[in-house]
Amino acid sequence: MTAGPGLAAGAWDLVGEVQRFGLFSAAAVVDRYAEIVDRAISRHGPAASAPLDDAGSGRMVDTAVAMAGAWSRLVDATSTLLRSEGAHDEATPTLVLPATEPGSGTGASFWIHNTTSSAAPGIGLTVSGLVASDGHRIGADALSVVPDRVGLLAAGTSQEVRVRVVVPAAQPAGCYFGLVMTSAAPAEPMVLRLAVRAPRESGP
Amino acid sequence: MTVPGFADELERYGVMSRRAVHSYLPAEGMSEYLRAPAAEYLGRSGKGLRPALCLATCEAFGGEADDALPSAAALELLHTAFLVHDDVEDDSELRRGEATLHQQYGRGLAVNAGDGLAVLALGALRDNEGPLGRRLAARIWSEFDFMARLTVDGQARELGWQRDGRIDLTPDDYLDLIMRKTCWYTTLLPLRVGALIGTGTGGGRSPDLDAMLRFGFFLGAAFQIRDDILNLTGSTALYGKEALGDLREGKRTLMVIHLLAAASARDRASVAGYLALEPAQRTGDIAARILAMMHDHGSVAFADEFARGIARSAALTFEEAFAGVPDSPARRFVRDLVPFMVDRDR
Repeated sequence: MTAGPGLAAGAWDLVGEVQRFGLFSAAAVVDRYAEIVDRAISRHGPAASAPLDDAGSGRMVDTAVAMAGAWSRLVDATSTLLRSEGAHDEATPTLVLPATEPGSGTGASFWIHNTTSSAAPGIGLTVSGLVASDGHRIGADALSVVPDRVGLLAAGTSQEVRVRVVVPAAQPAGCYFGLVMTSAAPAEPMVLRLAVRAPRESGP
Repeated sequence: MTVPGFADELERYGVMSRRAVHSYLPAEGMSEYLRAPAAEYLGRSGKGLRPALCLATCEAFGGEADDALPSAAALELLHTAFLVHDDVEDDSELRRGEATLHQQYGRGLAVNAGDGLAVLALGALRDNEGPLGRRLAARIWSEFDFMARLTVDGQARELGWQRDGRIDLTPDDYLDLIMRKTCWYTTLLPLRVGALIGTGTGGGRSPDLDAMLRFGFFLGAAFQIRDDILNLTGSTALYGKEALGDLREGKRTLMVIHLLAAASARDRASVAGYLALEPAQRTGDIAARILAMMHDHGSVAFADEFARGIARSAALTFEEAFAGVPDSPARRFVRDLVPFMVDRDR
């Protein structure tokens, strides 16, 4: 989109919104494939053992819901822009980590976007521990966020942030939740969600 | 925009990989009914991006390009085999500015030549065992195996969507499709295989394959969306394929998906009706009307900005995927490949 000076008010916002939608959508696909490629290749097992149609399984549903919402808003916004208007709101920020087993690590990315016209000074990031509805917890020391501080984010640029969890070996299976906080938006934490699967049985 | 020296490096890798590819086309013992069509696309001036990406990544990660040559050749042979079959499946008319193989040799010989190219790729992969050792060669085989399964699965999905008249698709469906159909073999496999061979033979530390996955997909997706846009708006002379070819084939590109979502009920019905036509009924005039609707509804502009967001991420994630890799001409080549692939006009 070449957003020239003659475009309607809101055009530049929409350009940024579409770019972010592209980036988020692509990042969601990458996260799904990170799960299956490890199973298919890294263990040197036969690739046939990794179904090709289950990229991300449970997470795909959550991602699809979030993306469908954003997509619908963008289509509306595009139509609105073509009528020289424009307004839309943000998707619910939830980061769904790839499901994993006790004793294994998992992680996912999210992005911080500086949509303003000026550079953003240092942004700090903090991640909480995770808790399940039955009271089981994964301590904050099992989680990391990289980088935990973004020095200077130039106007219109983005920074990828990786959240990683190493699930303790004795952790009970369940659905765990936590929060990622940023100093840039202290009242808008992002929800972290992680499904811990029961360990697979070994042996013949 | 081309960085100074980039074209020379691309040509250098191109010469190496073309020589390797042709070494797998036997001069004797192969019927001319197979050899001539099999050699046809290989002789046309493709960009050679995939083998170049593989060889450069291998060098950047501390290996010798020679060690990755069989893999680079296998990649190009498989890519060419896919193109031959893809052109038959889509009944395309032009490839790299000339008649497609099935137009030139007939469907039977073209399909068989595609099979032959895939078989030659197997031989190239077998040659990995000597220089790489059995363990690394087996790993490379697994990488190719995974890629090939994804690619044919992606192609099947696209053909199935067209056959079944699917119009209920989202950008996520599209991205998932191109991850399978093109991105894995265009960027992810060359990067992963290059890095594995480079570190496996050069003694460097293991590559961060997760970071490579992000970089590879962002690069490949931006490249593919750009390719889809060029198919609508590019010059046939520069682009080398027939204008509006994807639209006439009924491909579910990001622009089509956006148009279906953004159009009024009446326009949407018109687009759905167009996609339900038999390919031969999708004339140039009707395709041009659909293109005009895409412009009216901002679908081309949407796809362009969507790709731009992904391309910006590709530039950022390159640094992550190549973190700790010392500066070298090969590393710079891969970095400079990003704008080359996503800002191209052909």
